[in-house]
Amino acid sequence: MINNKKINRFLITLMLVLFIVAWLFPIWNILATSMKTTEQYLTQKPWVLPLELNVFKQLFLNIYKGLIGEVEGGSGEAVLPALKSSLIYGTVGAIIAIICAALAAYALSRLRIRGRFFLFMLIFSGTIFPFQIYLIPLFRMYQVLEIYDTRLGLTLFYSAICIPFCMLVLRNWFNGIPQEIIDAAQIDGCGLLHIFIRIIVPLSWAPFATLFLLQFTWIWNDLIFGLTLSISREIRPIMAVLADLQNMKAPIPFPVVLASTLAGSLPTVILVIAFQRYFFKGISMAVAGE
Amino acid sequence: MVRGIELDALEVPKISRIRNYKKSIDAIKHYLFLIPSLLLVGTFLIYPAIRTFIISFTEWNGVTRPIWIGFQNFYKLFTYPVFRTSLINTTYWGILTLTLPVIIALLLALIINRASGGGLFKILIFLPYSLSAVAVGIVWSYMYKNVGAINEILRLIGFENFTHIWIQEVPLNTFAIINAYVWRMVGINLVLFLIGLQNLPVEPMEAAKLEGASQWRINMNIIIPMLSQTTTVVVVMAFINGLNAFDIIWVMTMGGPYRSTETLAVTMFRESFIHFNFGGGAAASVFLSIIIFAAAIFYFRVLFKDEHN
Repeated sequence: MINNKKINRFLITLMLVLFIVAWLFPIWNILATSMKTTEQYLTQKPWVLPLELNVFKQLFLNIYKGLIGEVEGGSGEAVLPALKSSLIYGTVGAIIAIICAALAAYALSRLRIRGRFFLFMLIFSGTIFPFQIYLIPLFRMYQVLEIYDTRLGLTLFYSAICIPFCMLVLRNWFNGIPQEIIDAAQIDGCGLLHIFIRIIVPLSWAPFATLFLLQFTWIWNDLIFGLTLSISREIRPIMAVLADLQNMKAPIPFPVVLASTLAGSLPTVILVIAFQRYFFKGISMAVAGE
Repeated sequence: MVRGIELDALEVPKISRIRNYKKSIDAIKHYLFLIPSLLLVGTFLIYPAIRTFIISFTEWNGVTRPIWIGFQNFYKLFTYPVFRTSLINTTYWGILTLTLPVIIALLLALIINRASGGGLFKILIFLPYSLSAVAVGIVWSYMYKNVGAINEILRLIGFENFTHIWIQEVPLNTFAIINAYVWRMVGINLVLFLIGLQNLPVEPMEAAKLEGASQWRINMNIIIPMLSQTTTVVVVMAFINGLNAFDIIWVMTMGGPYRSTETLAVTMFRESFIHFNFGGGAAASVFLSIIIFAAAIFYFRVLFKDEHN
């Protein structure tokens, strides 16, 4: 009986392992190909790792070529400025969104506001629409305001689109903070902003960190708004530039495209794996609205 | 301060008016906290959404003045062949992304939940989701190339007749893209199902086990019915995300060749920013919004039902 159970377990684990190998095969493919020279790419099977000791050197060389855009026959498409831009959008956008959302959530959760539900729904309605519905007027508005293809313009938009979700999560969190603490501070004569900074914020670093991770990753991975609101290499975020590389007719060696993709994906993959617990918590917050 | 007390003694009504004034200033202070959010969300999200709705009733190329044409854009959406392809593809996307990632994730969750080393398996299956849709699109474009891994494997095992140029041939290409999309999305559904499974009470399963029920029966008759709340949430989210999928299609085919892989999400972008038919693009996005709104309302009703219990 116990033996049977053990065999069963072993078989299930074995099947899972085989499944995982097949599952991760596409990732292995791009890893292996990123380590090749153009010549090896043309002659070897995709999944074969070149049997040389300098595969890592070639990987770094490919990434380097992609980053600075020094590619034979290419049109000088450098990925490095895009990484820098996306770092700015992700960091600044997420921080602005969290600050704005926290202020709003504080008001909606603790202050005397008339039409609380209406205002909540007004801000929250920003996430209900599919992204496509914003694009045309945004594109026009950005040209009129002369923030089309500027870092300012993209940062502002990314902040705005992250606010509703942050507000939802933070409002739930603030609702859980005991009123007695706030009352006590009020009796001591603290103003509204003072209470917010001295009491609410120090109690909320956990959701702030989770939200920062989620929103940074979201902004980093965004394509459609980067495509719509910017055009030049210096301003476009990383995913828009990678899409350009992929769709470009100019013959950039494929190993370089894949190596650039790796370089562009690595930051968020590392974040997700390093902070997986927070991510999974954040995902359940996002979906179940807990 | 002293003067204040004097005044208080002399003229009561005036003071109360000052207090009221002070009160209303205080009240305004409360609203100030909402201003940054309202300003950003209003300018960059709510205003454009309303504006798109209006544009969808006009013919507009972005240069000349928009002309009001009523429902004509929507009429074209259902009658022009190009848009019909897009609608059919959107239907495929809706149906397949509603079912495949959910069923695969549920199966995996039921197995992983009881397997040793479940945490490691979970993160490995989740890995594709941590890549962006753009990266996944590039990864699979490479898999689908003529000399890509899939064709090479088929040649290796002697099925040379089954090799295709997967993202060029109609109608294979739409399904090839959906496949890549499913590969990415299973991970997140798996995580949601595993959270749902861990929140289930264990007593009914233990009781069933004592009665000698097989694992299969426990899964089918106890666990899956108890998971229905999670399942509904996952299904609706999968449906909404599937209809919204843009990045992966854009990266793999840009909706081509000959607009054969477009869905509404891509049609909207192409009509607007490549053909400068802003009215048609707006109409496509409004129609998409209506479908997604219907799904969202269903979703919220399920969530609120949870809160009542």
